[in-house]
Amino acid sequence: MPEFQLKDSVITSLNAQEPWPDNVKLFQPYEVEQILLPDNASCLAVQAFLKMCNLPFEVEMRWNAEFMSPSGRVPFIKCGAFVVSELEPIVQFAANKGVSLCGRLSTEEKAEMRAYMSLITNVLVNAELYISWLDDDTYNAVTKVRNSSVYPWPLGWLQTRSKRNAVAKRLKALHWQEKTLEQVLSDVEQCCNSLSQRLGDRDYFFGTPTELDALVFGHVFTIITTRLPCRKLAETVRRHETLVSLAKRIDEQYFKRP
Amino acid sequence: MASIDLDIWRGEWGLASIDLECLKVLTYMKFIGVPVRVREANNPYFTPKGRLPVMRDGRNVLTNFEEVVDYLKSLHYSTDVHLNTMQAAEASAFTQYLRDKLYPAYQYTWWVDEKNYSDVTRPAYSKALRIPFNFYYPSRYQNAAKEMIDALYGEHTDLREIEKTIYSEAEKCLKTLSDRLGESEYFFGNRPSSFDAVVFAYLAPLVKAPFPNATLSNQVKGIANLSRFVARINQKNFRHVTDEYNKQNAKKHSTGTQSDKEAANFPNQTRNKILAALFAAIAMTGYAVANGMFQRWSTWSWQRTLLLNRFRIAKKQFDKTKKLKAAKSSDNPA
Repeated sequence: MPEFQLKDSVITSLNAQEPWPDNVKLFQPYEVEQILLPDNASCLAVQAFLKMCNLPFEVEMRWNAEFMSPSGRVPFIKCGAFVVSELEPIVQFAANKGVSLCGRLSTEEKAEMRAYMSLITNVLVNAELYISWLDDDTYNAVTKVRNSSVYPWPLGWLQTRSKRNAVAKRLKALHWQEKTLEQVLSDVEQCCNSLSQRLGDRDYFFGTPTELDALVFGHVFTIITTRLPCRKLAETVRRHETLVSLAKRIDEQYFKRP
Repeated sequence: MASIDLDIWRGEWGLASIDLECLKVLTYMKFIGVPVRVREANNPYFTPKGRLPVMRDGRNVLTNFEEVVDYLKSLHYSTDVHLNTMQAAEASAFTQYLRDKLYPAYQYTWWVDEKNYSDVTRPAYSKALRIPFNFYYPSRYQNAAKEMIDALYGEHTDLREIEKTIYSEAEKCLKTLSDRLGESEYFFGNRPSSFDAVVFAYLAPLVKAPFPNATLSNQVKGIANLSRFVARINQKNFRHVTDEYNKQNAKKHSTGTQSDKEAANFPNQTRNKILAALFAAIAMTGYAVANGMFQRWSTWSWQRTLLLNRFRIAKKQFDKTKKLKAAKSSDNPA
């Protein structure tokens, strides 16, 4: 049995005492030539979360990160004997080590935070997937090229096709495939509205940084900084100034390049 | 605004409708108190998307909850006016949260779990549907649900593993919901909102339907304030449905004779007999045809029959003359 099948309770009892090791590695695809919009957003969110927690980690880029990940999705971290993928399990994992950003929130606030995180994973992630894989312009000009760039010739074509089918199937199951681009954008608009209304004029959603801020940062920052043939998504998000300034603030504070 | 028509799946077990989407719309309309003519549809074949509910108001045909809420809002019917912008944002976030975490578990309980499907879901939907459709729609909806689970949790993962993940996520979600509700009467203030309708529609079927594998139902029933919430809304808005159901149930219990019980255990007995006979007849005929038992029929023609008849007549004549000759020859020597 591979180690990732261990359930929460087992992980808790196994690693509660051990502190956060120094040699934690975060695996993700190549940022410059390979990574796609949705993956980049989630990688950035996890990085932001780890930096907010002050947990040291190294980013390691692998062309096959997706296939190394236990859940099939990037990013994942390797921490001692454990391999944990995606934001939510990583948050859980850090909490088991005694590192948590939402410790002082009340139960209602925690409930609210979870709800907003679901809002992002349901709306923004699906919108990113829709734009990257189902919007023909973006698919042909960006997604196809980048996704197949790391494979030798016939494999790249095949892999891209099969991945597109998988994404289409997922979106179909969630009733997103039948939407038009306008409907997708209006959903995004509504989601951003909710977020910016919740944020108001505070610095962070709940006063201090939480994983919700990390998640919002990951998605908003990636959407507004990625150049795609379809500009409408970025324009829709950019209209919400509070969210953009939140993303910029987090970028300056945690990702200051030397 | 003469009258709004609403087609829904029929109810069962004291629910106004067995279907999640129908129940959302119905509950919302009850909250508003908008005049509506509800019809229990018996086939979704002629609806725009092959699904129920369908709301008709003049030329407007709407098929999902969000559209209905928006449309009614445009007619100045809304339950959400008392929410401020932040609460509205929170409501939409929580709606997505339920959709993200609870909806897969709901679909799993209703459609993917084989025992629940064959014991509860399929009979319930078959009862609501008319005859040729009841063979088609339940399995179609089941396939859709299975595809959704496949797409979300990976195709090659063990189903039991998926089940565990889904139910543990749902449990967390229900816990969160219960924390959010606390001891208040509704989620936002003391008046119902569209989010309350959504929560009620998710939880009520889980509480009422008698599932054999009731993991999720037991989770809901185990949380006191959520089950009180369901009972409260049910009492306020669907009292007549529940009362009727209880009355029927009581009647059945008091006057239930042996034959009644048998009929209840095996509904549509006559129909099934006729179908079985029909099936047997078709199978046997098919077998006969396949084995060439009707080959003479296929080569039969008028000309051949006439020719054969002529031969027969000729042969008869021949026999007659032969007999006569034989008689003569036997007569002569004597």
